[in-house]
Amino acid sequence: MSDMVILLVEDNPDDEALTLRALKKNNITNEVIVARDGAEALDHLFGTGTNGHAIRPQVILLDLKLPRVDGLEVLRRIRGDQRTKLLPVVILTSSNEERDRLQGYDIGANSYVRKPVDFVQFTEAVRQLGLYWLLLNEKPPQAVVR
Amino acid sequence: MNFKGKVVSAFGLASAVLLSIAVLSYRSILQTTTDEDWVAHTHFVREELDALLADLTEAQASERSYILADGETYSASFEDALARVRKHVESVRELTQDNPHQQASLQKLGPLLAAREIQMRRAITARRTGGLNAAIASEGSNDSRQTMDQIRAVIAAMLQEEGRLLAVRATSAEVNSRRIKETILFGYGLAFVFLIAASMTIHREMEKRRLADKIVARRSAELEAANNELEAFCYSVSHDLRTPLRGIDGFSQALLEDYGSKIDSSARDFLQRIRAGTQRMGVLIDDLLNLSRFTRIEMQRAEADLSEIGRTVVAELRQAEPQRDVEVVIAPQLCGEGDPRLMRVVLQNLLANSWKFTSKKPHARIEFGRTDNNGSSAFYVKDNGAGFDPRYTARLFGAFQRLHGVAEFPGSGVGLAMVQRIIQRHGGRVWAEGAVGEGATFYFTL
Repeated sequence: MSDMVILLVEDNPDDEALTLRALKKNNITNEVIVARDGAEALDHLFGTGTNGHAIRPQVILLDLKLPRVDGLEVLRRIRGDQRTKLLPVVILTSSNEERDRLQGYDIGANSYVRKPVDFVQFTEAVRQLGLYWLLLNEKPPQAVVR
Repeated sequence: MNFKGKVVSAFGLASAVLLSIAVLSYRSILQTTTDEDWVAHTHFVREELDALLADLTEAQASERSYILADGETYSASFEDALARVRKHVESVRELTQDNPHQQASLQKLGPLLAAREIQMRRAITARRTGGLNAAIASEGSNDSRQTMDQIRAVIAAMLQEEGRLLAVRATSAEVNSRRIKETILFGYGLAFVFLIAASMTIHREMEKRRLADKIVARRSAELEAANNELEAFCYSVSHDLRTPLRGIDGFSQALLEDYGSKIDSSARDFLQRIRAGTQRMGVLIDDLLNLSRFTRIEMQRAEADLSEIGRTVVAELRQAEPQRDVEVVIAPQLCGEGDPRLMRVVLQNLLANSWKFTSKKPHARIEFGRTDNNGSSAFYVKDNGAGFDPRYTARLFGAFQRLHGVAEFPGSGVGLAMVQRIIQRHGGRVWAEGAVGEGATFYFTL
């Protein structure tokens, strides 16, 4: 299960803490790597960071409004690279602007989930996400993800 | 006078002037031809008169040659000359038929010529019977000379009359042509002035429109900038204002979950209230965003089947609250010209309102139909719910205005404001009738 990591791209520490809490509440014990901006997320994915190790997460939970490189740009780079173009990406954001949703899907998001204000609802959303992307969904074969 | 009137009248006047000039020119050409004919006619009459005198003189010369030379040969040329004289007289009579003055002169000329002929014939007879001297005596008499002088005088008078006529006609022709020339020049000038006026009016109008276009373009740019700003604002409201709310709600819930057993019920109640307030603010932000979104959204007008939309909305309401027993009557084939998405928002709000405000009635009834409103048709959503105090009708459609407490009937007070904005964007009107405890009816036109 070493490759069953989750990459959480989230700049807000409160949201980060709440997301981690919701995952734990739902007994999702997979390793969660947190990137606090878009550039950091790209470093993790392409091994350009300080530890030089590229990860291939089971799912990427991506916020849109991020410092340095924003969420849509991160998604664009992921889809533009042979090594990462098939990785499942779930946009997890506060915004429900039509424009964001349209652009997100246009660039190739696998899913778009709006973070509810109500934490109970948020926990439920995270539970369903975990269930689907970590248990139900089958990753694309490794051979294709070169 | 407005722009169109000015241009049309200027072009109309110019055209009228040019048309008049064309008619005038045509008539003046005809007139000139007539004048020329008259001048030629006069010349002809004068030639005839000259020839008449010449032939008479020739007749006299033949007669005298006869007397002096006693030659029969002159007799023939004498008769020829006289015949020609008679022919000239007839010719002049015909040519001057319309001139009483000349006819009168001819009346005088006739007897004189006859008298002169008799005198000449008498002299010839005298030569034949009485010899040279008798003939000379006859021809040289005062009578002969007088008659000839009178004839010359009459012809001279007639020539003079023709000369006078020629002068009169020439002057009239000249005056006529000068007047026409002046009229044409003046007319062209006038038409030119009208055309200048028309083109100046057009130029001024174009200048005005160009300026107006520039203003419109600037306003559009300003409006677009304002719109973009609003959009950016809404985006940040949607994203940035909700994030801290999620923190407040989430950590309150975390406190309840992790430390709920260590605090008393009053503290737990406070935490619940914090969560309720936070969630309510979340709803308000979402409603505010929707209100602004449906005000900004680009409209796509189409024929919307309102009955069908109404049925879908009611089905959703029934699904959300299956325990409610509500009689809903939707008139068939309610169609309206409007954006179907926005029409759905309108019916969603009106029907959900009715659904909500009939929740305390045992026999709830909601009706969606069309009625006649002063000749034009209006749609209505009618219920037998809580109704409202008609004194506060004006506040019904204000954003975040509520006529009932949140505890009594939940809601943010944005729904009817949204309905009003959408209907107004469609160019329609929305109004309400109702009384406390007697239900409410909401009307709208498209």
